[in-house]
Amino acid sequence: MKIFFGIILILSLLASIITVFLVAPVEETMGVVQKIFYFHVATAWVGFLAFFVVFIGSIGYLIKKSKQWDIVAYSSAGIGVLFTTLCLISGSLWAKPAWGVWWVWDARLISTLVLWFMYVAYLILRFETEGSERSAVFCAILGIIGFLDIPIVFMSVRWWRTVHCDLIVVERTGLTPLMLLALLISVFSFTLLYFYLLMMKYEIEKTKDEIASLKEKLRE
Amino acid sequence: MKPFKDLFILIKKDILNELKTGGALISMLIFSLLVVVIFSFTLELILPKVKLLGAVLIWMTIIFASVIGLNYSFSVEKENAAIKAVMLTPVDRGVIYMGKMLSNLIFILIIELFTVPVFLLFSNYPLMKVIPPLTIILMLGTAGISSVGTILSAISTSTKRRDILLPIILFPIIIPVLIGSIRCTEIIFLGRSLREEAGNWIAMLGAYDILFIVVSFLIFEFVLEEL
Amino acid sequence: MRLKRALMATLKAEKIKKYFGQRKVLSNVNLQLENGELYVLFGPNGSGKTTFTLIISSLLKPTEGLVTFENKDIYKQDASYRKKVGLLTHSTFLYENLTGFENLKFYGALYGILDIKRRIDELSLLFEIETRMNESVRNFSRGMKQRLSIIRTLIHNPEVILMDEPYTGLDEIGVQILEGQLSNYRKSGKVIFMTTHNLLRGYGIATRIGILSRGRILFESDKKKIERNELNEIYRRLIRNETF
Repeated sequence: MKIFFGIILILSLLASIITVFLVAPVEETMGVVQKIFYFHVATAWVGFLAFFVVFIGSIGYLIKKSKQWDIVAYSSAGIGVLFTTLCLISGSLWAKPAWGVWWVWDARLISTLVLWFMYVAYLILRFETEGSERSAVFCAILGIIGFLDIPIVFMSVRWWRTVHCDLIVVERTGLTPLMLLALLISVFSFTLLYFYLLMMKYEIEKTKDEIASLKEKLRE
Repeated sequence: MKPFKDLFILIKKDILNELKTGGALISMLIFSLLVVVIFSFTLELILPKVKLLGAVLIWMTIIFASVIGLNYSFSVEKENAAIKAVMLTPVDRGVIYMGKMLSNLIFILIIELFTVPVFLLFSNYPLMKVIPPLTIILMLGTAGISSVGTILSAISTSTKRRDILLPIILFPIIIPVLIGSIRCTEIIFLGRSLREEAGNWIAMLGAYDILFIVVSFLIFEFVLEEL
Repeated sequence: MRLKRALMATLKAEKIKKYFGQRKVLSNVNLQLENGELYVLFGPNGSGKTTFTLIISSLLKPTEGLVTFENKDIYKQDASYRKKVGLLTHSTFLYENLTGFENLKFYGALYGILDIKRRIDELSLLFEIETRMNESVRNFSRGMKQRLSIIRTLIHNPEVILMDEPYTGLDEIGVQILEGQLSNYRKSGKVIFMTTHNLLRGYGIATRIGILSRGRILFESDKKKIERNELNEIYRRLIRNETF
């Protein structure tokens, strides 16, 4: 099952690399740099998806108080940090050729940065309360509040920075069907990658847990 | 009517505790006055148009002072685990949250009562014109800070490095409050009308306050059990 | 006899297990408390006494098992059970900045006691701290704090009195007053549960005795059926292998 999943994942990642670099046409104004866009969007999407899973896991934990939900939330947060970090880096790489600077206070970049800070706060809180039920409950609370906050952050940041609408126009109109295909495939493959990583991380944490409980039994 | 009576008893105790010791209130006040004074005169030297920075300055001062107060609010409860005995009384868990939230709100508003006029005087704003709309924004923004601040400070107080943890988990969450309040304050300082230009911001602040007060009210029980 | 007890029991803990993370603190504790009895649970530090006391107070949920009061799950009763419980623990639950009187008035008000002032006067007189009531708790000695905390436990005249190591910091006079009061309460039909590692004191006041070690109740008996020396012997034997 796992191997099967792994194979599909590899195939879809390959497919996305092929479509992005070989099938999709080179964009006129931006040139080859525009290829970053496909991965940038994919990482951003996974970043949000991961936070949604943190949210679901957190609610599940508070209701059921069973460890599995907490492990899902925690694992997803870890992967979320990874992908939002990649998203920020790729955004920055995009910004340099597009606007001539590494960082622009663009609404979506600010929102992603805030999201990144929330994830990091979640992990720091986890680290500070390591190894107790308390840790799981506190993180669940932060996971829920953080997720509910995201739409408000997005909306307010957008109102704050209404300067970069032109970007949306470029993206919307400049996307040929093949580009759209490449985008969809890379989003799909990154989503698969996310779930694969989540599954792996879940298993690792679960095993850690089992080892700990075996140790405890041995001690008794 | 019992919940309201309990709420009153809880807030009264927090205020009494502050009155006895000065607790966090004095520290918060001196801290924020210091920040206001230092920024006002250093910025005056660098750029004469300090007024434009006024909104940012006020809200930065408020959130840092709030962190001091919020950190203190649950350390009192945890000193002898008194919060556990409060949990054993028939008081509803959500009411315990509301009590703390309102106490924090009151304390931060008291700080603003002193700090904001001082700042306005320093920077020569037209007091009479600015104060009425500013009061509304201060209330809305501060309610937002104490709504999530209260539940998150209950969490951070129970960890190892509690003093530094609160800003780390709180600041990303209150970014909408912060930018909304700053934008509204800016509009006021520029002498423009809130009603015409900040309707959506005020709605956003109000919605934020209500959302997080309700959510925290509902989930505070889980935090209490782990304190 | 056992069956009769089971039927009469007002506060009943069944198959209580408690884990903190992976660490097992209580494994399968069963206990029944009746009105008018004073149960003393002995055990060394770390045996799980405090955890168990917190569980039957409703402050701490067990990982597994059920606690019932008058045949109803205490977690389903919620506030109505909390009203009937008085809990004393190692933490005094007092606000250090407030005076003794202010502390008691605060808790009394939350319990909805009507004539708080009279109740406070009555209890502070009984525990002989009436002259210190207007001082801030921070200036109290440990013994004074303990007396005040005992008053706080009893302020709402609870039906179930749970005391975890009540002798902590208490001087001889304080101990005598406490024991006198507990005996009165027992005779008036309240449920009293106490933990201690002080065999001498505990034996003196108990009507029933249990020994908790490593999260298990290893021994239980009516006090009448056991001599003090015997208890001493059993206790030492049972906890010999305990790791500290």
